[in-house]
Amino acid sequence: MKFISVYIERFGQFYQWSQTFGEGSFLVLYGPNEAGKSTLMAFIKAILFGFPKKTELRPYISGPIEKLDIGGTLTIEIESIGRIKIERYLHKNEGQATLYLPHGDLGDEDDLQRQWLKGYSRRIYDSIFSFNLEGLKDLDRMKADEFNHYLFSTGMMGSSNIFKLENHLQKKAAHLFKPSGSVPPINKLISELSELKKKLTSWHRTLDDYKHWKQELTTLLDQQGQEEERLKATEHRHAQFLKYKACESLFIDYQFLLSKITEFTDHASFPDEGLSQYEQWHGRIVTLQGEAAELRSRQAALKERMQTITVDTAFIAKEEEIYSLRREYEFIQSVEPEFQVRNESLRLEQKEYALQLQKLGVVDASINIETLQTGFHIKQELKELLQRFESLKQKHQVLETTIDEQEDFITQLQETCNKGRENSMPDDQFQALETAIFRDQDRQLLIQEKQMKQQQMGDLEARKQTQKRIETLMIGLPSGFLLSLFVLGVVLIYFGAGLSGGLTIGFGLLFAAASFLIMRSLKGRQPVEPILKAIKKEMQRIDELLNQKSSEDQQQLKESYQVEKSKRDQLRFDTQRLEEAKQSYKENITRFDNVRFEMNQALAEIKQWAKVYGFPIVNNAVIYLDIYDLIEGVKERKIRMHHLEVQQQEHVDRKEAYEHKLEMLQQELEAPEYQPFDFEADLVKYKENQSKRRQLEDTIQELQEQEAGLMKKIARYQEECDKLLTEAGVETEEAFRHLAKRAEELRELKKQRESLWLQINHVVPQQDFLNQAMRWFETGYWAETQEEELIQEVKALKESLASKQKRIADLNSAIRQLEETIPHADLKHEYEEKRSELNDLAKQWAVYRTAKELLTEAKEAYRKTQLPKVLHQASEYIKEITAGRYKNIFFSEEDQFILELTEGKIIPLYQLSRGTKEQVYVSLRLALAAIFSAPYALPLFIDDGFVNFDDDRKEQTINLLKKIAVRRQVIILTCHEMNPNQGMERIDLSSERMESYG
Amino acid sequence: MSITFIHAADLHLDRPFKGLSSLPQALKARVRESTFTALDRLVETAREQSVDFVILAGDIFDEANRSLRAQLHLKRACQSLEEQNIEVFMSHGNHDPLNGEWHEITYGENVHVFGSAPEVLGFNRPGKPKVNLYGFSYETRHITESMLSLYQRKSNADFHIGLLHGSIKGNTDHDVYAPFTVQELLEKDFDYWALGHIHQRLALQQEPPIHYPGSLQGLSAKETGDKGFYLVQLEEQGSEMTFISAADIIWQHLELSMGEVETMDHLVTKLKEVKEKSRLHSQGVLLRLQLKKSNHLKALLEEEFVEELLEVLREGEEERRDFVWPYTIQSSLTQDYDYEQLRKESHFLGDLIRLSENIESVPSLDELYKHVRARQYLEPLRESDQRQLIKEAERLLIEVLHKEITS
Repeated sequence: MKFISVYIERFGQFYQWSQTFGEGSFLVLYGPNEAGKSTLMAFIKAILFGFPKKTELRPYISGPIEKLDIGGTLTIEIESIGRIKIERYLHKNEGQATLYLPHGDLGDEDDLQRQWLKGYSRRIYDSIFSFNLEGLKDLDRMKADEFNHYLFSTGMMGSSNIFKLENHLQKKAAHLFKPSGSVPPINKLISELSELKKKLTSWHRTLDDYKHWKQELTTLLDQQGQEEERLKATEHRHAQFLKYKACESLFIDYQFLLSKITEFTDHASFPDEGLSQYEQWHGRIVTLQGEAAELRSRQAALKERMQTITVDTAFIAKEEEIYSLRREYEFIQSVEPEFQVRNESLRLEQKEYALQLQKLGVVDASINIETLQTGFHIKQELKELLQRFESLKQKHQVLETTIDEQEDFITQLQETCNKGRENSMPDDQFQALETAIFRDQDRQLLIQEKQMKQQQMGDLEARKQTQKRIETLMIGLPSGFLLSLFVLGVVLIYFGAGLSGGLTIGFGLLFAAASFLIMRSLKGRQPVEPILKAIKKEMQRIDELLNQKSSEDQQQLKESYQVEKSKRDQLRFDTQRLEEAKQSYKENITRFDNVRFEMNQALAEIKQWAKVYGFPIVNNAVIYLDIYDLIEGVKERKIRMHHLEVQQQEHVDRKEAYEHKLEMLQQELEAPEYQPFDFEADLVKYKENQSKRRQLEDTIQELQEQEAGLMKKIARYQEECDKLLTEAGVETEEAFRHLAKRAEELRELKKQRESLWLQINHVVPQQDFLNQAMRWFETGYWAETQEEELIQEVKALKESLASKQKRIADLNSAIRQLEETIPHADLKHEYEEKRSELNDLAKQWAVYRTAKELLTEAKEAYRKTQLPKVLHQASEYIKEITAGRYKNIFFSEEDQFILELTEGKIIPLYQLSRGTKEQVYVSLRLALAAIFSAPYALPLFIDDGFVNFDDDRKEQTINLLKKIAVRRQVIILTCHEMNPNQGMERIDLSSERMESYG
Repeated sequence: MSITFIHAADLHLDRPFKGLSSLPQALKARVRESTFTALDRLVETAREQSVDFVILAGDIFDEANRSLRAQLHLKRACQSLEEQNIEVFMSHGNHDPLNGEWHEITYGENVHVFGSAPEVLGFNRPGKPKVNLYGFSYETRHITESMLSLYQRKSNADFHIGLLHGSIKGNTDHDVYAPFTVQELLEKDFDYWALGHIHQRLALQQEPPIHYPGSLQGLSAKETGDKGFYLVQLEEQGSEMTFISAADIIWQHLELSMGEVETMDHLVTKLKEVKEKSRLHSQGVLLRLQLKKSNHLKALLEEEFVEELLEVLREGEEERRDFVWPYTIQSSLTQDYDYEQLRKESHFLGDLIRLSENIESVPSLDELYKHVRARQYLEPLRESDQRQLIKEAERLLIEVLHKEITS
């Protein structure tokens, strides 16, 4: 591949710049510093491999003419294909290349990269096919190792210092870890972890203890539970033992009694309590017999006493009468004073009655008092009649006074009116005066009427004008219609349209008539002229009236008129009052007559009342009320007298009946001198005696009954005694008593047994336990047991429990302490964190180590495979450059470059001159490029490569390059003048390009 | 007729947190407590909501050898629930199998622990629906067989809830943990499946609900986002589930595009803004920052600069309850080379890549990994670890060498 020409639209300091590289393939691009050599190289690489990243491109895109696109074209020539123009712009086609192929075909970026560059990258191009000798500038300061490493790296990959990197990695790794160090972080971490692990192990032991404590605690708690149960059981057993022991002796006694009782089996037939029952029955019989004898003696004594008590039954038969007579006697004695008082009252009443009758007799002796009617309603009736009469009487008096006053008033008014008439003017004179006054007021009305008439006249004049104009039209319009349609009709007839012509004339007549009628209606039917005349006449009359002269002394007239008018008004008022007074007087006269009539009527009604109820008739109405009251009093007294008389008679009758009854009783009971109280005293005595006798009889009867009962009981008790003897199987009382003694002994034994049983129950109230204890007694359960043993057992268990509780408390305390502090967890976290940190650092270390390892391996591989090829090619080149002085370059086992002279002498490169070293470097770079398997021989760029070469070596190097240039284009960039050699083309770059751009 | 319960799993109580060596002591203590804090929050919610019971579906503790502190804390939590008459149904998972060593702790009568074979435990309380809970605890760390055939539905209850600590079949990493398929679970005709084992919150089925609540507290940098448990209300008509946050510490991973950032000041300002945006109301945040896309940053993100940057960002955070602690800053800056291209090239870098691909192990690492003192603390390098190391080494070399070539 060969670069033929470039066109730069814009790139760095290049603007629309083109350059042809000529036909030759060995080219020197000459230019001073800043002339653009590097820029041109960068441009060519950009066209070939694409624009670099923005940051790298930045130096080439700033500039004054930014409207131009960055980029341009590069024309290359490939043998067997021809010339290809590669065009690439930053914006156009988005930085993608366009290829213009030899036969007018087009290619794209993909073609360029895959087909023409075969995957070669800018990187490879940079590292293999373009180089400078910058790295060699410190050549003098390099130590042997460094120099050899440098060259080795150059031979390997063009430019980098692999050995430096190796060292760097080694250092980095060692900085992190040294197998026997203590300072690097990894070593430090290992030590820390080791410490932590120790602590953790210690903690594990503690935790093991914890685990054991927990297990021990569980075991102890179990044991504690069991022992507590056992203690409880033993204590219970001890308690039972004690309780049993408390009643064991009682059980023994009880057992003894039971055995004795069984010996009395032959006396089972003797009845229970037999002897006592016998004694009881027998004792009672003796007692009852004594009582019966006592009763009999008492009966005899009572009978004797009865004989001494007397009773008169006749008195007792008359008991009711005796008591009744005694009560009647007491009553008569008690009312006797009252009888005397009533007698006196009657006498006084009779006297008073006579007096009142006498008083009434003055009025009218003929009146029968007892037939007169009185009563509340009759009196009320009289009061109402008298009241009405009194009221009318008062009214009569009032009216009489009023009439007298009215007569005086009428006389006074009459006089006043007469005087008023005399003082006023005659009526005709007053009317004349009044007419004169009112005429002036009419004048204003006449002026208003005149104005109204004038307006009416104006309206009528306008109406008259309108009527005149309508009259004119009324003639003109119908005539016009008639004439024009008539002419049209004639014309139509003339032209042969007879019917149309006739119709037209007809229409003309019709229109004329219609228009006449319409006009007439508009004109109005009423004529205006006569109305106008009437109005004018009326106006003349008004003017005349207005023109009359006004009275000269109008004012004076008005005053006279006002005086006269007030006089006349006063007179009219007085006359009116007079008439009203007369009318009232007449009405009162009528009323007075009516009242008097009513008064007479009321008096007549009062008299009628007296007549109806039998009262005397008097003319003075006022005394009627007194008469009534007197008569009422007389009647009342009469009633009282009658009542007293009846009472006195009743008393006399009752007294007589009593005396008769007394007499009868005296005769019947043969006690003529006896008074009621005597009879009563005897009666009481006889009744008491009778009662006593009855009581004695009852007592005797009772005693007899008691005696019979006692005898019955004695018989029955005797039966019981016999029955007991039979039951006991004996016949005699003596045998019975013997048996009874034996039975008593048995009973005593049983009683003792009961008592003992009660005692046992008292000692052991629980029935269950008692039963249990009885069983224990029967089976001898506790026979072998000693209380001391039980006490000892309880004591031992309590001691064991106390010791366990102490241990449990200790364990709990230890466990709690551990659980509450727990530094172990933090320790573990720290340990894990450190471990994690260690692993991270270890991985970092491993990366460095692996990288170094990789590098070493790659280097070794290179040394074995690539380096011999490179050295072989480089040997060819050095031989060429040194004109055969050196024939071989080796790389020794000790990593040293060695040169072999033609004569076979071997010299380490480091010992040779700077120039030789540079030549070896160039040879190695050229060799690297030569052996690189490029698809097309890519042009080689060398930047100021031979500065330090002496002239000979320079020439020989140029010659070498000339030879290389046969196979691939070689472009040398330099700012130093070089002697033009054959086949070498020179292109000058000017630094003044910017100014020349137009 | 309904029941309310809490479904939580993967508590990993007292789990040590790794990779947080930079944390100051106060924050470290809070992080260490975080699994317990999350449990306390669960208990608080249970009490507030007066739930009927709490389900803990495995991995309650972090290791077979459970820490005493963890067990005592759980005991206290259960006692607190007992005071409110709340029952606890729990099973042990692969991290706390029954065969592990632990201290004998009794949790109280309200706590029901499933045995090693699937069994049914009843929730039977007057006035409440009857619930059958089915489940088992891991006897050993691995259970390779499906246990579902042993889950036998008993029809004497109103609701049926399955507890299962395991993973879906086919998930090869996890196939040793009681594998199952969703279809198998559905066939059991349960009303709810309370799953555990997967630390990420995940719903396998909405109705009937088959859910992983995820871990109660994010346990490592991988477990980002809010963590907690489900509050579930089961009714005849269906279920209602509410996720409730319990985590005290939240892990966050932020990838930030640093497009135009060129200076350190600019970077600090931008990262401080990001930090403030990450701050939560009462939870602490552990922040991993990954910076992308800026060539300028390359120089800024040299090791020493990163440390300096972290120091600036951590300033004042130590004292805050709602701290945001950036524990690392990583950069995934755009590579300025095409790896695949490099790999094909006949250049030394191509040789290097090809060589690294053929290397399987690095014997020289034994110097540390087989070191007599170090090896007891180091996790042995598995094949995948070695591969990763080689990859990282390769990347390191390429970055350095490539820079040298192109500079």
